[in-house]
Amino acid sequence: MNYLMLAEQTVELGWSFYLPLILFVLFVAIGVPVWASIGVAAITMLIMSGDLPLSLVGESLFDGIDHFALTAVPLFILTGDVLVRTGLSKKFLDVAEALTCWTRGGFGSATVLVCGMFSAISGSDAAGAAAVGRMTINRLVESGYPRPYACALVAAGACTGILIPPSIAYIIIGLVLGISASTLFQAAVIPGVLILLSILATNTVMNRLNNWENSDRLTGREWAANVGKSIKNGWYAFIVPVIIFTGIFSGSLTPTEAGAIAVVVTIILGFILGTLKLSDFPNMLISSAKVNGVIIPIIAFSLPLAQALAIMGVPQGFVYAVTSMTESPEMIIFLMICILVVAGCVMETTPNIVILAPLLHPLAMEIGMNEIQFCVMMITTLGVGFITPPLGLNLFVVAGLTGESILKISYRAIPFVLFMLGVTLLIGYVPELSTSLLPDIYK
Amino acid sequence: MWSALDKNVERWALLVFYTMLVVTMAVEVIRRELFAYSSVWGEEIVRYSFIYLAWIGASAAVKDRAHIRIDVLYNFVSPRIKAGLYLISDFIMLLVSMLAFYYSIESVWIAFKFESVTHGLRISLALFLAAVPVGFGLVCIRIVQSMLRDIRDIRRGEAVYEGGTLFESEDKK
Repeated sequence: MNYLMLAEQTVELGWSFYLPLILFVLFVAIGVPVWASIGVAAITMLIMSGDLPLSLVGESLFDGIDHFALTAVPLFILTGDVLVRTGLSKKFLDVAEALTCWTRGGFGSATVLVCGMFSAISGSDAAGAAAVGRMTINRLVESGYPRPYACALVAAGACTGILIPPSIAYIIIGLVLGISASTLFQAAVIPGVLILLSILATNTVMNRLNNWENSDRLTGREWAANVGKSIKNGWYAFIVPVIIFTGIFSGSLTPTEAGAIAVVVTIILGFILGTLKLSDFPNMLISSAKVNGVIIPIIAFSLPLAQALAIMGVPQGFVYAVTSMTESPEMIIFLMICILVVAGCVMETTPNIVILAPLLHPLAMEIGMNEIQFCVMMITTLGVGFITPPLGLNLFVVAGLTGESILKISYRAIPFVLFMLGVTLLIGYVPELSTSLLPDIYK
Repeated sequence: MWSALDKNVERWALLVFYTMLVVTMAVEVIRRELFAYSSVWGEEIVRYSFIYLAWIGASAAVKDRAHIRIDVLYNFVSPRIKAGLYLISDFIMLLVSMLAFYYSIESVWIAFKFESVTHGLRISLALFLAAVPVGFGLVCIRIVQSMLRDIRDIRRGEAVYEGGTLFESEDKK
């Protein structure tokens, strides 16, 4: 292992490391957009360290994002948007409701299930939170849940957006570490479903404790009839996830291709159902393009920053610093999870992936962790960051939808965060969860 | 004419590039699955439309003040200070964008001078590299517009534009 050799050297970090860091924190705190703050950090670091030319920034704005795999990002964002406009997401809700109406927290569970179904098509988080929130929050309140809790439930459920494939986050970490996104998608299925189940469990427990929702009990026959009816009315909505999953798992489609097929099939369904009109297209495409225009600059500016950090030897120094503190793999995995949780609280997922993946990856290799498992652990932990303040994107979205205060929603989100972190630890310590669906060479 | 351009320039460009990306990709997949044939240039079209889409989208997001930022602080300060913070953050964004514009123009110029061509289509690479300066040119214009608007609002003593949320267009529906 090369890292063993590299780990021998300590790295002295001077002002060329700390000044960019201080500027970054300062600018983020006063509300400079994340991409510009990262840009400032990258530029000052390049100027001060003097090892790399400043034109690197200019180049990476083109070369850094000139990857075929990344083109899946706008495709999966658009699929989510089309899905909402065609009303197919309503069909998902009907099926989910029919499936869960026998339990006491029926509608709460249905909300979580819809989030899961949505995630199996859309690759991003916020779109799911907005779409599901708009459909369910008012009805959750009618069912008896307090409004901030309903918001937290939707925000938590929507975290599965990047945890259940297809997922933009896995595409980005694959790009940064040079791992195929299809492999990561396959690995992410079990952990993603586990997170979904943990959110279901949290809701059930919270509902039992507080007695919010109390649906009528159904007999088995009524339940089966309901499920049958809802599937009969909405089976076509499931064509899209089926195509995506068979395509990616059989290896016949790359994520980008699966994304394109998913968009086209959803659009065709929309036209057949008559819910989508040609005049819907401009607004739909523009709002997706804007989401894309928010994500990609963050990646493009994070890449030169990660390169500058690598040139300064920060990753090696980090590995050395950690391994000189403790040698035990268990402790190091725990430490990595802690770092990721904190990072997830204060920063957005995309820069966290681009900057922290090259930093933590050598450490994971050093302790002999499976590479794929490391990626899954990293994304899942960062996924929890979507519902942790101060920067939790899903919290922002549901707060924006309902006008509830972020603090109230965050308070209600605490049990969800705890349960999800439990799953994260499980993923960190049980490699089989991430690798059992993969071909043998990855194990 | 100018006001229509000012209102819609990103919209038109984004529509063109997004449609191009989706249609090319879909045609490529269908052609490969059904006829076992794929072109050398399809992937190139997709990649380059994606880059145009990304940077022009960034400009559209600047116009709507939709870029992700931590605005916790903004809840606790007076409207005047808030307006000031918006101005400062716009100014920092402008500096970064101008640098990005300058260095990306440089690489377009080099590609133009050495007549670099793309691998598949064999047409000038400068045409595609131009995505970055075009995007950042628009970003700079939008930031200056936004700063002017904020200064005007402060002078009149009105609240500054808070920006639309990312999902605004869906809400209107």
